[in-house]
Amino acid sequence: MSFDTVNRAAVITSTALLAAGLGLWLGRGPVESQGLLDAGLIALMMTPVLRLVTTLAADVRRRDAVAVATTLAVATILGVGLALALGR
Amino acid sequence: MDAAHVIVVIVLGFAAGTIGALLGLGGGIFLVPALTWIFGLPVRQAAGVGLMTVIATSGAVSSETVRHGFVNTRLGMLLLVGSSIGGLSGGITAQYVSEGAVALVFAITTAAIAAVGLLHLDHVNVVDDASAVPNAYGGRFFDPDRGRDVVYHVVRLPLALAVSVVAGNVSGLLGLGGGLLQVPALNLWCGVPIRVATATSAFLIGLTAVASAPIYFAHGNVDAHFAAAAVIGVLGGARWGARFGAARPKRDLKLLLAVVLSFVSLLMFVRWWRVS
Repeated sequence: MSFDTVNRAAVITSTALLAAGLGLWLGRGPVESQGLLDAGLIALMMTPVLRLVTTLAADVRRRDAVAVATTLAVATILGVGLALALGR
Repeated sequence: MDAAHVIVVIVLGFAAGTIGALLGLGGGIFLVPALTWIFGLPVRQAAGVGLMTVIATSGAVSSETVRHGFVNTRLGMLLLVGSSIGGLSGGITAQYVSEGAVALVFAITTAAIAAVGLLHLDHVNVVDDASAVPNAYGGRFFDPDRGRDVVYHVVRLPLALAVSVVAGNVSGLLGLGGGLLQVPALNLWCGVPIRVATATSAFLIGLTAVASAPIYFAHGNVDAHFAAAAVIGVLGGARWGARFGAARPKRDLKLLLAVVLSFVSLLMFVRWWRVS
């Protein structure tokens, strides 16, 4: 799957969840909407991660060793930083 | 928060999405103060919503720009390594230099960059020859200004990396996105066309934001309703901004960048004035 398709699908999914949650909240109140809103935010936070994965896949397809190493370095720095912060 | 608030937040999100699509900036510098002033949201909560907006801006803009070949992921990832290192050492800088001093240096720097940018509005980075071979970090894209494929070469890579380290370093300290320094530096000194610099920056800001957004989320510092409304606005703003931006000559984008830089410079001068 191309980068464009994956990214677009992820952005649309998270926005649809958030819009549905917001609509439900305005119509019915807070209790029923929280799950949808949380799911939408988690889906939203997954979109840059998916972009990193599709970028890495494209680097590998091009057999671009320097780019693969750079993208892996970015994934490692972000992943380790986040794990440390969440573990504190 | 009620339906009227939702509409205001959607409009704010729309503005952030538009700035993201036109200039590759997250718009957090405008959104976070707006949320605290208009809705009285605590700064941490506003920052949490701001991070979600930056992620949404990055995703929405990227789905418009990647297929045009504007995003240079190879260069972007390298710069992201630099800004991450800068970000990690931001805490060390904060121990030795006061917030006021950083704000003052940032104010002077952004003012200087804005002035240089205004003097070089017609500066051209592209090689108008589709058969030319781009250098190691350079690239090729369809240039809407010329209506055909063009090539560009990335020069002064160490300077680009140095700016990334500094941008990552001060961004945590001042609550600014790194794109504000990177976009003009890449365009003015490193041979990167403005459309590529802004699209690559837009691609990167989501990755930078996702390094801290889950922490805010896990600690309950993201108000889901504000975030949802802002994200919906961002999507519209990014789509509109991408279309509008592609139809404008790139000179206008550079002019807008200089205006935003001047405005941020002013904000930073005020901040320095207040602290000292």
